[in-house]
Amino acid sequence: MIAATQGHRLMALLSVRDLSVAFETRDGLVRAVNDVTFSLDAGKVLALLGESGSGKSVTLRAILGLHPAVRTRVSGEVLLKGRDVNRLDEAARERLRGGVVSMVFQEPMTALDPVYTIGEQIVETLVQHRGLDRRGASRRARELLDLVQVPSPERCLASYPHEISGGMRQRAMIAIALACDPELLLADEPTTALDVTVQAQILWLLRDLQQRLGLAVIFVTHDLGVAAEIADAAAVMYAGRIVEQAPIRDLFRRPAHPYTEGLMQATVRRGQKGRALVPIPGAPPNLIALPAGCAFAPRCPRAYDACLATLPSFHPVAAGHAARCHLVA
Amino acid sequence: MWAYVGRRLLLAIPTLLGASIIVFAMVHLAPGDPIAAVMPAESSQAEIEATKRAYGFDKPLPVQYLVWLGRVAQGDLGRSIATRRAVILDVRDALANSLVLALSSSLLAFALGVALGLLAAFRQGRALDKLASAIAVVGVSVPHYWAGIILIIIFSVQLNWLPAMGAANEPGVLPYLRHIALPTVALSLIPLGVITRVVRSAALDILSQEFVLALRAKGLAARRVFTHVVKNAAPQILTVLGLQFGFQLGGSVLVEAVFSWPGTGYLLNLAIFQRDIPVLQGVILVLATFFVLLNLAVDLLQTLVDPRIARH
Repeated sequence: MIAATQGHRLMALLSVRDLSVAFETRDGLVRAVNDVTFSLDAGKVLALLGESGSGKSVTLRAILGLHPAVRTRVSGEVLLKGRDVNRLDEAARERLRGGVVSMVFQEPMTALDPVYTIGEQIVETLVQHRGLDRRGASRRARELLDLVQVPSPERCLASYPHEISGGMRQRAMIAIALACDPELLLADEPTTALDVTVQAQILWLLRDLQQRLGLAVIFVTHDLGVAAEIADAAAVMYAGRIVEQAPIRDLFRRPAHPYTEGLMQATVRRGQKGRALVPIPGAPPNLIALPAGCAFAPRCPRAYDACLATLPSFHPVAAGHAARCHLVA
Repeated sequence: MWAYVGRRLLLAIPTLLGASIIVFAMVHLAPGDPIAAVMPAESSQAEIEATKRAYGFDKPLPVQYLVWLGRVAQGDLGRSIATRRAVILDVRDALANSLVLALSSSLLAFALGVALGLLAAFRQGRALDKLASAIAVVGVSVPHYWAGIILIIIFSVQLNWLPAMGAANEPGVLPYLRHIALPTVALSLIPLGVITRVVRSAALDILSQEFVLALRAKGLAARRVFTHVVKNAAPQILTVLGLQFGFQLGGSVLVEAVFSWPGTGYLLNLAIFQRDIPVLQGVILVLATFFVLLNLAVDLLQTLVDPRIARH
């Protein structure tokens, strides 16, 4: 996946190459995403793992071309069906968003417009992309709510976001995202803000929809268990860089990067009973002043001189499995 | 919705009663005896007592208040000490003139302020935003009576384009507009500044919310996103518009004085200098009532725009 050939990159639904995003702030340049490269084929699910502030959400926004033009520096390529999102004008981006790629947000309460009904919010998307009339769009909105298994679609359509439960809101959010049959769905921690019982339902729903509709999905999460349930492959991010990339089973069987190991030891897993959780000592680095070497080195139990001095490049671990770590080389 | 309207109407009653008590108390708080003001200096004690009885000043205060309130409720605000005309007539004419001025200056300030505020928010940090902020600061900082004098110097004295004072004597729309133009501009400066700032910050507040990102993420066109932002910011914008309109009705004393515009402010000014307490009471009571009703109307409008307010 890392050493993608030119041919493969043309085939892939999404191909991100050397993507960097930096924000100009009063304190300095915040390097939120640095040289991120990955690709995703149609119908596949990639889990983007990492703790808060590791650049997962910023990466998703860059894929949608949503970063503002002012005080934000975006470089690199985001090829979506062969077209570079960074080079498109705003009108062409608007056609891609919703139509080819769409997004489900973490907190549906804040991601839905509070003063429009669910129905209006689905319908306007359809009117914009499909040119449907209001009647046709309303019919399609109903079908979409059926698709995301909302029990009483009519009532949901007429409701404002604050009038329905968190789970229903997230289902409505998914319905909006799927309204125009996108090929790629970006899911930004879509279960994190929900009750535990509802989390599982939404996760099953997403997996079911992914399989039925043949969607490609980038699933951002910090929950390794969720990643294991839904993803084909995973990319682990730390301080704005991908530090390890692997097929999901491979990642769990033999994590190569010490940070990935640390994540796993800090997470509750099946068969965990009797073993203590081990937190990763220290805190993530300041994105304004990233160290010259590996960003994880100051927290890494196995770091040596080279880790602090030079930034490791990707070293292959197995087929499709690579890690940015000097220890692997 | 109707229960909410009813509740708000009921809540307006104590507010209005409070205002009436303050207005009533003015007679007794103001320096000088009101009877002394109307009686010739050489009147005998008996004559003064008789006048007091005639006016009802011999009764206890609560009784006086109720009697007065009863008359006010029927539209009887007494007679002007200076002109002997019924106060209600003076107040009515002045109110009509002030209303026209408040409306024209509010319309100007609303249109410009909302447009500037939204432009500034959607162009945050760019030149247009800075220009709008500069206009807003000038608007709220420049004393409007001073701006009025400057306008008179430029457009009446130097250029001789527009009349300097008063309302139009001759009939017709054009003379009327020519007379009202300068006071309108002078009076719109402060609300223009306030509205620009409030609209800008309200729109920025909405723009920073996640759902705006979500709207863009689903590929909604920029002008549709704009509509969403405006509808979300509308309750805040309506509140400031309503309050500013209220201020416009009562806050034009100085500008009306500068332009000799025969409105409530001018009347108030006149009444103060002539110690014409019935007129003063009448003007203040009518303006207070206006304020309360206006706030009520704005609140009700808000519930129409934002469904969350009425439903809880």
